[in-house]
Amino acid sequence: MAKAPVIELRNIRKTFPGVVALSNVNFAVERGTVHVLCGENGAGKSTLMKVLDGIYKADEGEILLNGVKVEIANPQQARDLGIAMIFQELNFVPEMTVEEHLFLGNEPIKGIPGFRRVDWRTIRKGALEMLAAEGLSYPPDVKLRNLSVSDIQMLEITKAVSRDADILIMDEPTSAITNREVDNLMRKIDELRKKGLAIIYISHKMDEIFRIADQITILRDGAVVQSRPAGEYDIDKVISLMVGRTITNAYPKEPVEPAEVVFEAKDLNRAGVFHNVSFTVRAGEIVGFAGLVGAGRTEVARAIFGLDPLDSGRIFVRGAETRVRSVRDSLNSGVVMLSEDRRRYGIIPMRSVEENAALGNLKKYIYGGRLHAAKERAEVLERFRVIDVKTPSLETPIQSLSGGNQQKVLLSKWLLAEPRVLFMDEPTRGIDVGAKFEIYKIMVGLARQGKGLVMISSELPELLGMCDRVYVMGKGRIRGVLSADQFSQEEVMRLATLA
Amino acid sequence: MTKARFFGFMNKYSIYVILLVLMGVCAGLSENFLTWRNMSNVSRQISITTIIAMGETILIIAGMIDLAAGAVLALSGVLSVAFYKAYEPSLGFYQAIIIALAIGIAAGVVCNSLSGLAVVRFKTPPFIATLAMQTAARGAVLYYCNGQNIYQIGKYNVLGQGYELSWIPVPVLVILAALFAIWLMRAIVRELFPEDAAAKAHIGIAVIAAIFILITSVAGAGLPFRDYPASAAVAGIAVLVAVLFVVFGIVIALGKKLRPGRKNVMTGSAQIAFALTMVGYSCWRYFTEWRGKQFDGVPTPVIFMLVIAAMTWYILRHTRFGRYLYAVGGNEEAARASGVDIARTKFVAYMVSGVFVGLSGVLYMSRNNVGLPNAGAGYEFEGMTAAIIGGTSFSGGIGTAMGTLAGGFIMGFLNNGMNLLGIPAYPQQIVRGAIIVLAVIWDVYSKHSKYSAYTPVEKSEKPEAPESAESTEMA
Repeated sequence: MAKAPVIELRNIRKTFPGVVALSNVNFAVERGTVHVLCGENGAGKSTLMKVLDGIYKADEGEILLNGVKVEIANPQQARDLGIAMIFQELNFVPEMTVEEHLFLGNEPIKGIPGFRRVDWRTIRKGALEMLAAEGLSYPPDVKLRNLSVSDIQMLEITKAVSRDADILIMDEPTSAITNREVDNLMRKIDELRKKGLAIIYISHKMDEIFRIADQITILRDGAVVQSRPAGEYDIDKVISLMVGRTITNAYPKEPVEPAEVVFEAKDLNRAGVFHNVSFTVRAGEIVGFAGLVGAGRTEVARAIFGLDPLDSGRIFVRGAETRVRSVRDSLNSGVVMLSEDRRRYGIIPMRSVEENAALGNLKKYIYGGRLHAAKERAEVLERFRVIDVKTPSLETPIQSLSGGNQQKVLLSKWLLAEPRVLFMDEPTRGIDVGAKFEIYKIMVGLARQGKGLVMISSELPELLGMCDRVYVMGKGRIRGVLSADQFSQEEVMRLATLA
Repeated sequence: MTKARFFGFMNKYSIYVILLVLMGVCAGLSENFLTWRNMSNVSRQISITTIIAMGETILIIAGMIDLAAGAVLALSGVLSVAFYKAYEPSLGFYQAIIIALAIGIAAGVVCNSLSGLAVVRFKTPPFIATLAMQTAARGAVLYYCNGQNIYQIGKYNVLGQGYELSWIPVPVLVILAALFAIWLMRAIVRELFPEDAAAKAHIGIAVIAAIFILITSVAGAGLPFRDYPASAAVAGIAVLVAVLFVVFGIVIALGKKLRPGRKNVMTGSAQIAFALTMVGYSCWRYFTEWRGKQFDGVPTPVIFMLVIAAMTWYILRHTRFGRYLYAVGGNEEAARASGVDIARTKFVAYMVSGVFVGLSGVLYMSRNNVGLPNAGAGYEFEGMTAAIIGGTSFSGGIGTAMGTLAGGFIMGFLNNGMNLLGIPAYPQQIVRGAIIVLAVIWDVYSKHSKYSAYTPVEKSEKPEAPESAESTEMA
């Protein structure tokens, strides 16, 4: 199909102090195709897209829209040119309502000059139409902060599409939504492709990539490694091109002899959220929690960790019952939780990586009322070395790091708190293949040390590959528990959707 | 020194550079600026608002605020004065003054604890809670006094009007000043040229030393420049710089000869040369001008201010509580999920700032020699201004004690300079307002610049242990 590419980036070069983020990148997308962009963390995918979206200005190189050179100085200009971008880290104002968000920056105005006002009627009508078209059930006047991550993501996609974009950029759009919503998304993308949109799709999920890609471009260390039609690739080839080496085993799980019960929950209840939840975790085990979004897994973990109240139920750590009234109680008994939303519950963005890592257990570095800086630095540095955190220095604000490295810093924080049981909620969300593998290795290492791990995940392959047993939750209850040999996608789905 | 390193340095330390530049400008405007008397006066003028600023800094870092500081200042001060006046005859001076001080501080703590309670227990936004406290406290103190001032408070004024440390001999002060200058220079050089200090270091040192000498020479006696226009002073300084270069060149050449092959021989010798220059200069000034003079001493309120600043610095940098303040202000949800006791941190923050506000009340009444129920109006805003100029961010999670101290001095020197220029009072206020906005714009701009530490970077390398171990944080 020899169509002129609707958008083309030529010889793009972008540097930051001390770092070349993109070198001589050539990237073109044809109308009516889905072009997938893959690469490890730090490969430059997000940077390239930010250049296209007007957030960064390339040092060298040019952007051509339908063959005509354009300057994109800011995101508003990108919008005007028909480029719509959906970010991996969702951007929204929690106090806004759904309809306000859908029309943000694009509000219909009515009235004569001098008496202009926002046309809420049209907004309400438009919002209802959009919500119905996507099959979303909530009313348009719901505040965004009452919606879940996956709801907001669907909303972002809806919003971008409603702006009549010619080019749609999606950065890891499925990292926080369920399989059913992923199917919807794929269908929507297909629809848009037939309409003639050019879609740029950044993802690490191999099954999705091969479902929709027409063309695949692989970036590594800021340069294009290869760019070919999707049919010429298979999963292993893409992964090996991304990381520059062959990864043979996606999941480094080793069988571990499960020892004594290190954590037990009995009849946990929280009215309207979860009921009669009971489970055990043995030392050396990795226990998975599967289920649809909204099944209550995160809520159970948060209640166990002390972030949310528990109506009734008992918790035993190493056989000793613990009353958890606050996070501090939980930490003192050796239970930690890595949150699914690190931007909201994980990082203190403007503080250094060292401060973030030390926050979980500052007590350890206090001598006579004073913080022992040298000891803290040494331990944090060592932990970063073991976990392989990539950061320019210990003083770097954590918000400067890539998602995968931020997650590693947070993991360091919890490991420095010397836990016995780790709850990990979507630990590899928004992280590329290479870093995912590293986190799996760390988890296996922790299990071998005799810790008990609970992994909440919506990626069934991940659960199958990493867990010894999987509890399936649905509508706030545990519907069943599967051991590794009983495990299958169908069985999980069946249990998760039980009435 | 690379461009990146220079801008990185400016981003971190720009507030202090601005302070020095301001001092230089003021020194150029008037020969009376750099006298001990003037410095004393300015420091004393800012001491009370800077103490309040320290409390505000602690609160703003944690994402809160205190609008009641001025009113609570008045309430604590008046209660303290009233106690002293009533009980001094029976308890004697020492007992009465100590208890009066304690009462003042306690009043501040009580008021702020009430604000803190409203914020923490009843989830009132800090702005509203402290606004209410401001109104109530002002009403309380006016009610207590029946609207009248309390006069004739006897020796209560010793806290606000005395001078301390005048027993220190001038030569010791000269040595201390020289040592401080040397330490400062080493720190600056280390920040700007960590890898290759070599040849460029001594240029920077020479320039900065020359500027220092320029400032102190233009300002004071000792050099025959006082009656000459500034151009003559500049010419004289050019000569001095040339002399310095020669001195440094000799020392460095000697150093290369005596210790060949050592990598940092130039840094070491340049720093020794600077030290010798400082010491020599200090001795020269001592013998021509300072000898025989008695040290007036440091005003007592200034001592309090410096102690409070040091306490704030220590709390923010070296205690767990300080870390928790940054965490709560930076991302409260994440702090809670990390096991930080949010309620306790916030409440203690109010209590600590209450101590500072109570103390400032005592100092205020003492300095003005009267119990003044209308005292301190607007002081909370002056305190916040000093904090903001010093780099404290209202969005929380960012701020330092030293920065706030520098901010306080910048405000003080600005007022001083404007007075020296003869600008009338009302336009001065316009200028002050403009400075506040400029300070924030500068702060935001520097955080978004290419060279800021806060700019997201796509690629990063492993942490460099040596560099982080050596980083000099002045705040």
